[in-house]
Formats: sequence, C-alpha cells, structure tokens
Amino acid sequence: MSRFVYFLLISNMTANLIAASPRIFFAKSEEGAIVTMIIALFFGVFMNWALITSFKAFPGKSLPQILSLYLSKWITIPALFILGVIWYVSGLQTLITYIDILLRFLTPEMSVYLVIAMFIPVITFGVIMQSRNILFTLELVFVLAFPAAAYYIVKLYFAEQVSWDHVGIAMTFIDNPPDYTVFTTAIYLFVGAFDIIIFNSFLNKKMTFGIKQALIVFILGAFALFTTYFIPIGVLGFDQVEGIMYPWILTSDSIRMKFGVIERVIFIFLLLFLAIAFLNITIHWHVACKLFQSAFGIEHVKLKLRKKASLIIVVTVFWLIAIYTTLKVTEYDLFLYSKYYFNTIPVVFIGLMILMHVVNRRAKS
Amino acid sequence: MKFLSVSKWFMVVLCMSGLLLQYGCAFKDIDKRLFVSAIGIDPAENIENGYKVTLKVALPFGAIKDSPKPSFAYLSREGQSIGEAIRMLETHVDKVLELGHMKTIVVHEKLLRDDMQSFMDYFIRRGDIELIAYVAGARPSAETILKVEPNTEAPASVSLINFFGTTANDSPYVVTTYLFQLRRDILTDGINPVVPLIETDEKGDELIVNNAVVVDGREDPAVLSTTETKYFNSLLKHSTGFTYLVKEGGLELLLHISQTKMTYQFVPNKGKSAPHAIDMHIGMKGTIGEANKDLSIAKLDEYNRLASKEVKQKIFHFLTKMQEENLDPFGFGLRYRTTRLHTEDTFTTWQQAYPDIEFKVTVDVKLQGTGTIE
Repeated sequence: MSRFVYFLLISNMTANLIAASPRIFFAKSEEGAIVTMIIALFFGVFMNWALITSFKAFPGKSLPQILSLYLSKWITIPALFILGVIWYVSGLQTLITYIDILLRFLTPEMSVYLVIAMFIPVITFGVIMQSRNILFTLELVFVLAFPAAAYYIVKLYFAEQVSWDHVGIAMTFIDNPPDYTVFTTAIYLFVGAFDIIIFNSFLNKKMTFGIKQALIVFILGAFALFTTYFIPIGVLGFDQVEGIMYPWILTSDSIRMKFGVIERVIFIFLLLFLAIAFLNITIHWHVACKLFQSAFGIEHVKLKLRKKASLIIVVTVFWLIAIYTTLKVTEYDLFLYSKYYFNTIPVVFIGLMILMHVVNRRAKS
Repeated sequence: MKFLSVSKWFMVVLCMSGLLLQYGCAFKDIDKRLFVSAIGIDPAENIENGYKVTLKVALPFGAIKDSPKPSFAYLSREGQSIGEAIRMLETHVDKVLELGHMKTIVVHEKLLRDDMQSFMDYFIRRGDIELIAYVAGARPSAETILKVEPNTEAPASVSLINFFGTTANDSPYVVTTYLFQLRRDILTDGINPVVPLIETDEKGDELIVNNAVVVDGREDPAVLSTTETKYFNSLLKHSTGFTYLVKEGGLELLLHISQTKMTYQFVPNKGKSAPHAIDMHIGMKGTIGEANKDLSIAKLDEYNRLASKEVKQKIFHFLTKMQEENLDPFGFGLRYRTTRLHTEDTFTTWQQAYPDIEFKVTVDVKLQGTGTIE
C-alpha cells in the first residue's frame, strides 16, 4: 500500500477519537461493546483488504473514471451521487462536533457565527485545492502534528490518573452479545482508506494487501479502538461514563502533566486534534466535491469559467447546508443522526464492493 | 486582462465576511477580569439546604516589587445552589469573574457527604473549570480556611495550590484529590473517595493539612487520623518520604521509607463466590533515619524483623477499623468487581462479604542501611 493510504486511515482514526464514536461505545458499554469491537476489528481489516484488492487492477484511476469506463450512466450517476452524500455527511458530522467542542471548551464567549466563519475560508481553500496537494498537506500535517498527538496518547497509558481497575470492570462485560450500532461505529474507524476512490488517480503504483499490510491495519485499529474505549473509562470511571457528552475532552482535561509546558493537557490536545480534524473534514469534503462533479458531468465541460462557477455552487451548497445544520442541530440530534449515519456504512460498503466486483469482471473479459 | 479569477474573488469575499461580522476583539481584556483562585463552600446559615459560596479572588498589582504580600479579595454570598450564588456574586464586582484558573475547591467538613454530587455537578458541567482542580475538606469552615493568608505565601501565588499535587509540598501526610477523581469515586460502587482536610491554627495564620476525610453517605464523615492518612497515602498512592517509629524494649528506631508496594489477592471461599479473606503483601524499602542507641549494620535483618512486625500491626489495625466502619477507601470492592464476569449481584455479594472479611497482612521491610553513621 502507498504511504498515503496509511495516512488517510490514521487521520480518520484520530479524528474520530473525539467525535461521536466514543459516546456511542459508552452508551452500549454494558450491552456488548467489547465483543462487538473485536468483531469489528477483523471486519475492518477485511474491508481494507477488499478495497485495496478491488482497486488493484486500476492503478492511477479514480472511481468515477473506472465506473464511466465500464458501467452505464444510469448506474454511475446515482452511485456517485449517493457516495458523494455519504462523504459529505461524514465531513459534516466531524465539523459540527468540532464547532461544538470549540464553543464549549476553547472559546466559550465567541459567537457561533464567528467560529463557523473561521472554519469556512480554511476548509473551502482545502476543498478546492488539487487532489495531489491535499495528499501533500496530509503528509505535512502528519509530520508536524502526529508525533505530538501520538506522544500524548502514549503518555496517557502511563498517567497515574488512569485507574486500571475501572478498565478491568469494563472488561467484565465481555460476555454480552454484540450490538449492531457499536459494530458500525467501530468499523467507521477503518473507512479512512476509502478516500482512495478519488485519490487513487495519484497512486500510480500497483498496490498489494498481504499479511504485512493486514497486520499493520490490525495493530493500528486495535490500538485506536483500545485507546478510544478504555482510556476514558480508566479516567472517568466505568459506572457513569455513558452520561458524558464529550468523554475524550473530559479525559484530556483530567490528565495533568505536572511539569509539562502547560499543566492542563487539554489545550495542547484540543489544538493538535483540531489540526487533524480540519484535515479530515477537508479530505472528506474534497472527495465529496469530486464525486458530485463527476456525478453531474462537470468534468467534461470544456469551458473554464463554467467549471469554476459549478465549483463555487458546490462549495456554496456545502456551506449553506453546513451552516444551517450547525445552527439547528442540538447535541442529542447530533448523537442520534450520527448513529443513523454509522448504521448505513455497512450497506454502502457492500454496495460499493458489488459495483467494484462487476467492474473487475468486465475489465477482465 | 482579468484582475482576479472568479474563484479567487470568491475566496477574498469569504475571508472578509468573517471580519465584517466583528465589532472588534471578541475577548475581554485581562484587566477586565478577576481571577478566582479558590472557591469555598459552606452550608448556608439563613437558607435551608442552601450553600454559602466564598470566592478568593486574586487582585492584580503592577509589579511584584510593589507588593510584599499577595493581596486577595473575598466575596461571599448565600444561595439555593452554587451556580446561583456565583451568578449573584458576579453582580458584586465590576469585572468578569474568571473561573478558568480556579484550582482549589474547599468544602466544609459537614458537606462531604453523598449529596456532594448535587453541588459538584455545577463544577463538572461548566466547561471552563478544570477537572484537575483540587478538592479539599475544611475545618472549621471553608470561609475561614480561604481567608487564612499564611506567612509563607509568596506574592503572586496561592498557598492552597502548593499543598497538593506534589509540585511543591511532597509530604506523605497530604492526600491529593482531583475533581474528576472525586466524581469518579463517588459515582463508582466499591470505593470511597478520600479528601484531604485543611485546618488552621488558633492564630489563623497557618494552614495545616495532615488529616483526610473518607466521603460516604453518613451524616458525620469519618476522619482519618494523621497516622492513618500517612498509611493510606503510602500504601495506595505510593508516596515516599514516609517515616515510622519502631519501639522495641529500649530501642527506638525511626525508619525512613523510600518505597512502598502493596499487592493483594482475594482468597476464595469454598463453595461460595464471595471471598473470605484478603491476602495482602506489603513491601517497603528504606533506611534508618534516627535511633537512640548505636546501631550495627550487621544486625539489619533484626531491625527488618522488628520493623515488619510493628508496621504490620498498625496496618492491620487501620484496615479493620475501616472495615468496622464499613468504609472502603482502598477500593477492595472495585477490585473485586474486576475479578469475575459481571452479573447483577456481583456487588451485593461483595457488600455482604466485606464486613466479615479477614485481612492476612504480611509486611516485608527491607532496610538498605543505617544512614550515614552506624
């Protein structure tokens, strides 16, 4: 696999750490969260394998290009449109969560409009950037922010504030039957690599997914899931953890680095993860934007001005919906809709895999 | 020639629109804020079930040279709830009360009960109060404790903060309890949180922290004595610098313990799921700090034996005292819950078993030397 695929995968895992997923896990902490996460871990590796192998035959081609080569317009357009919506909502969900977190913890006195207004230029610029540049930005943020983020997360494991007895109690619920919502939420951590449906056009080398790659994805996923679930339980206690809105924010607020540059880890933590979240939103919306462009056939229009105008329309629509929902949605709605959204992921995955299977067969014959 | 392309114009407008929304800087200046350094909570005198909130506000001064002593202002107000009282206190000052730097919550001894949850709620729910703030009990009242200005307090600092968190004071008699930890332990079955108790001397110019309170549902919370606090701290929190006096015949030894390690296991009861005993092993390492006679380094083994016997007795006494009071500051119940798969009655089984449980303590003191002299 190209290194960018790992970057995409890890950025998605990291961004989800403080978004809606931990809350969904904790809500089901007494109803089979652990068993489900173990199942999801294997399924997540399988998903990545299925994705990489299905794209193996088409190095340097994105999904819209592949589909338009082998399938009729009647299937291609709705499929791309649906995928576009899924990718858009994925970015939207992260965006709303982060705006909410910023308002609550970092700048409680700022108006919500101003916070949104700060996001708009940066993300818009990211979305309309060239795909290649987005990958390079991703790499850059990785080099700058990821070592620090990893440092803080590893540091959590050795913090005296983590009570491993509480983690032990969480483990005693291992015999409960699995739960569908937890499953979909957990496999969402693994969908980062699916961004290659667009970025594949820049990954010209033929990719392989063997034992080594599977092992890397497995270890990354196991670490991400373990950290997401158990560390907040260790810090905040098992018995009431389901009542907390942003478990990871409170967790980072509870960690103290006595002689660190700043005693309260939360500020460093928020800023680091904000950078990764920005990136995540940008990537997802960029993919969504490209998918919509292909779905509406804008790629084929020769006139430069019309291309730009349509781009502006896409971006405007993106932001109008985003602003509207950010202002309207309450924390409960966000939780509920995130759940619905996660529940559709397996369906979309199966649909995409069927499409790729058909395309692969036609490409061979 | 076009000056800028459409999309670039669009970007410019987007960026500017953020500026257009602003009237100026959105933040209030630092000189328009008052930094609350500690909050004290007492039961209200005039309102039934109300609280009296006292804020210790740090007053700004131009340069440290100008002010030999730190200066504070104290604001007090009674209210039906904490949040309400603080809201009303905001009307007593000309600036914004900033709680983001508040590091100590001092609670009246009598309020350290289960219903702590109801007023702690305010502190947890507010996003800007740090969860690593220290919580401490106060005797005789939170207000008096807050108003103590010790002579050792340096300008631009607050003594209450230095006591806890082992950044300055590292004494094994001082228990540190963070806000998040208190919440976690109160809401968890199987452990009782322990909170340090701050007292003051008669003149009111010293703060003394060497006792602790075990928070439980009862009206009169159990206060750990100084020695018990030391044991609790060194056994559970591995605090160091712990000294211990051994007397045997005419020999008096002051041990200086630098390392403590406690491990324990439940001894299962035949036929029943509940354990009947706890097998506890405590290992200590240290040196002899003071003695009333000449010591021989060859006889270290004997001193080890003496010390082990004495320490064992004290710890056993402390454990059984907690058991008699049905308190569990060590979290044995919590550990018990982790040892088996969850069922509905795991915890009730434990609750029934705990009063009759037997403690089998073995202490292993390993003295490394007799200090710099024999």
